[in-house]
Amino acid sequence: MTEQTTSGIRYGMAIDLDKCTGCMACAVACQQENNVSFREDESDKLRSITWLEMFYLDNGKPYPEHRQAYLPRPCQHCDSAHDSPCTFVCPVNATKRDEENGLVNQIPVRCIGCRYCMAACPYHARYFNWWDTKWPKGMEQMLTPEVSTRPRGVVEKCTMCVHRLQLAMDKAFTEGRKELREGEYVPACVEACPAKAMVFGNLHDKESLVAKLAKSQRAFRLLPKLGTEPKIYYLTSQGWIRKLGDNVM
Amino acid sequence: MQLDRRAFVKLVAGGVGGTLLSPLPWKLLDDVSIWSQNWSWRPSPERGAATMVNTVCQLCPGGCGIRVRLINKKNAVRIDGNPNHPVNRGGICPLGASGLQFLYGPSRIETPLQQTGKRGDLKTLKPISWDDALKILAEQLQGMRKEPQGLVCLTGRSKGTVSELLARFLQAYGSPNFLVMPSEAETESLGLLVSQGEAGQVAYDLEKSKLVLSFGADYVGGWGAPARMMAAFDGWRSKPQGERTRIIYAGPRGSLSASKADDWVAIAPGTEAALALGLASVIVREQLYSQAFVAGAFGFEDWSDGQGRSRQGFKSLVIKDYAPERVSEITGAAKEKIVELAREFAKTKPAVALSGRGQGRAPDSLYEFLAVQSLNALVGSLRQPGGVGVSPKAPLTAWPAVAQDEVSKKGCSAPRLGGAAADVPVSSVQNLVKRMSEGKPYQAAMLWVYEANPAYSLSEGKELLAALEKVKMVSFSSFMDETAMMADLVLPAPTFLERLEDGPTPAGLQYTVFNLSTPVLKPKFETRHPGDVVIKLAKSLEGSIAASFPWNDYEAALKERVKGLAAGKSGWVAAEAGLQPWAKLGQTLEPNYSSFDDLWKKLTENGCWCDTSQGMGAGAFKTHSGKFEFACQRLREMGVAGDDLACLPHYEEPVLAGDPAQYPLVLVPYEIMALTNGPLANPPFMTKMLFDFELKGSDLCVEINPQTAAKAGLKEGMPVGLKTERGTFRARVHLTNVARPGVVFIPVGLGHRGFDAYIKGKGVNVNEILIPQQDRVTGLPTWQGTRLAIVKA
Repeated sequence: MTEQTTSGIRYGMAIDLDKCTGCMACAVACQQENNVSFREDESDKLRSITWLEMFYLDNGKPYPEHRQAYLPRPCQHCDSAHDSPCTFVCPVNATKRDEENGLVNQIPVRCIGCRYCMAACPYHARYFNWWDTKWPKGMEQMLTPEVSTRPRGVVEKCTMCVHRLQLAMDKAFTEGRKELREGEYVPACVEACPAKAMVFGNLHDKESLVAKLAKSQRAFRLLPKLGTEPKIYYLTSQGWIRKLGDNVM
Repeated sequence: MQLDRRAFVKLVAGGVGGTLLSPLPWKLLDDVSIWSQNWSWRPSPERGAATMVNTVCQLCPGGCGIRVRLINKKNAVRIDGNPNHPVNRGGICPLGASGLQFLYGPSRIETPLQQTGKRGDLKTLKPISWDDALKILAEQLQGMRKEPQGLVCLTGRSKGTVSELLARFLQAYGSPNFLVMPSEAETESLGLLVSQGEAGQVAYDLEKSKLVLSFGADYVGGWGAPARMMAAFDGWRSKPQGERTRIIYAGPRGSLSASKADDWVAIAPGTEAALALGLASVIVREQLYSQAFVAGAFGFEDWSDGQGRSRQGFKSLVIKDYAPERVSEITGAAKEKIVELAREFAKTKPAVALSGRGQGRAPDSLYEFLAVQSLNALVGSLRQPGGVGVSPKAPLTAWPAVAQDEVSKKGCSAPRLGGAAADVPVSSVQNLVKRMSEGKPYQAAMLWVYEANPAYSLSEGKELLAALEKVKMVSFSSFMDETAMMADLVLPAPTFLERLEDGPTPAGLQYTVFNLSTPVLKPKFETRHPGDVVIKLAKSLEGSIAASFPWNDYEAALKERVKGLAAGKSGWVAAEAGLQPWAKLGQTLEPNYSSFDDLWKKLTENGCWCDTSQGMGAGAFKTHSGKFEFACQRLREMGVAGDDLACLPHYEEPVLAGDPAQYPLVLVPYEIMALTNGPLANPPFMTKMLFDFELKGSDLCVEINPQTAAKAGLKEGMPVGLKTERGTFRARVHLTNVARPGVVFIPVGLGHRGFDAYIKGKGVNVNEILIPQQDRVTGLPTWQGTRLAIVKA
């Protein structure tokens, strides 16, 4: 049973869809950082593991009024009271939200592969390892040591690069600090973005850029009616994109 | 005790119920989840101290500074953008972020290889030692020395010291046949030469532009220096409401660049030049052009040539031939839109027009380049803040003159196998292949290929391979690409992360950048730096060839060039963030190094030297008239056919191969960030990100407008045969309103037969299905479109 604390930290993200150019640098950086597997054929999107998935959006209009846009979708690290949809259903506590910082953690090695969390997640942000990863000869050298590799039979998802949080906290500790400065802990996707469309930080810190952007008139969240309280805020000046963010009937 | 059926069932049910109510199964479940935590075959990466090393990415001409994270100084585990580098400012593109999949890629070539059997048979492509490989090559070159012009070198990198060393070798050896793979950079350079008097690279001062008008340039899709463009786009979109930069995109496809623009002007493919001249026509007629600039330019008014004949000028050309009505018919854009756009372009200051369709790598027509750039000149954006200019060159020290003996002098005077039709200083690989096949005017004997994959990238890839019957081919590739597979000798280079190499000023940049990639770790395999190989080879050939290479190794040769940077009074090594060179154009930068050694140390630690003191070009133009030329007299001198129009930017209707009755549709290529299309093949991280309506299994998907599809009876995802005059290729159709009716769009970068299992055998290589046009002036292949029929799969 989790209790919502009065912790001052709630890590979240603001993604400006007006600035996003759909280059996919974030998705690639995520895969590189987190030892995400890849197979020869990734066109079956139900089997493809993309912690940060790019959604393709379009306004449904004919040529040449047609407009397309991309929406990067990491795990939304839902902040709903007591439990996120996924943490609520896990029978072995392989996934739990850390109330110290708001991150929904995933412990792949503890997972027994029942995939109940995948059914629960409305954003399809969780992925199952149907197979063991086959790393091409020599490519194991590029694996990030701070991120555990996953065997078959477990679920994985975006962790907001929590290992980077650990490293940042360790570094701060050695410098005699307990608090992290803005920008000291940044997930790989945010770091990579060449258009600076992604901003990360503590949503409870009123001075932080992410908190200000979350309150912008252009801000919206995905599927807000479900009450999941996602911590990823999207910004857009385009009404059609905003409408696609909820399951409006 | 007798157990009847009912009692048995009760016992079992009771047992199950009781067990479930006990902690036992839940404890066991919990235990299982712990026992199964450590599968022994999961890779456990080596742990250790992490360090960050700076270098520069060389996977595209964008020139981004990168940082590589190393564990124990030997395992590279991450690449991200270097925040101090002024070009990308900490950002990185997906290709750069996948760089480690190239370093550790499964198609890396580990040793030199020699083809001991039939060309293309991988089983007989055997490893040999470097000593043996170089000995074989030296012997072959000695044997060829009577006809040295038989040595041909094809590079994918037109700039940089390694290509310069290769060119130098050819000159010392005695061959004029140094060629560059077809690229828009060559078209641009020629365009600048004929209109402004000096070959070079166009500089765009985009960070300050108030209006950006793109003629098909995918400004956020990989055009120019990709990460710089994304950062500039961020800048345009971050300005407060009243000061926002307006972006307008003109092109046939509703690409991301079209969607992210404030306005998309949909035009028929290949009509960009007509639109540009249509805008010019309105601007001229309504006298909205920069009077001051035009007064100091040549060829705006009618002019008379050396023989005293009167020739048409730009003004009368656009008024007569490019009235909005006619341009509307040609392009399909509404007449009112053309007029409105022209007025906006002329009145917003500063405004800039971008030329170079798609990612600006594949060549476009020279006249299209001149048409778009004339627009920039017309409104007074040439050499102005927020406008265009010429990229200043880094003040590198020249190497000593090449030593030539009688043999090399004679060889170098032989006709160029890659010469274009007119006397134009552009290499035509198309002509090279043709002449190599014919053996005329002389037989080529050996072809070197560096940083290029012509067997894949050339429209004449198959013809090239056929022409190699009498030609030995040497590849310097790091990967088993389609060209290396066909080589006689492979001398594998280390990847950019394992070698020292300079990178020139990235495309489109308005200040000077000298990038330096340094090895972040020891080469993984038995590879050798191509620069070192060329120097060693030259030395083994002795005589004047050896004398032309007085350095011990590549590093020495490179350092000699870099001395020029230390000698100048202005320059700065990007060792910290915050310098915005575009804000300091024309200003001197106080050097943050005290000597050459200090500069070299800082440069190798940081990767980038930049300078702003030369601005974007100044002083008289080096044309005959001493002015910017709207009517380029140089084109007549080069023997370009046609009367007045030969010198003027104009629209020529693209000639699309195929009979419209048999091939009712038009096939046009398009590029995306998630699919690399240079000499490398897409890495797995990027291929994964392709949507299933772009690549499905092994089938590439072409984009077709739903109306057009309905007429042809095509449904979403249907497998079809794409038929052009070159043959029929399997694909699937994707119905989308991104596509202009009647036009089918095909992504560039698939259809590989080499590299590795992650990319091999997927999709279609556009170079095999499309039929390029040969540009009338440059002789380069342009991709205006090819006629297409869609048949049953």
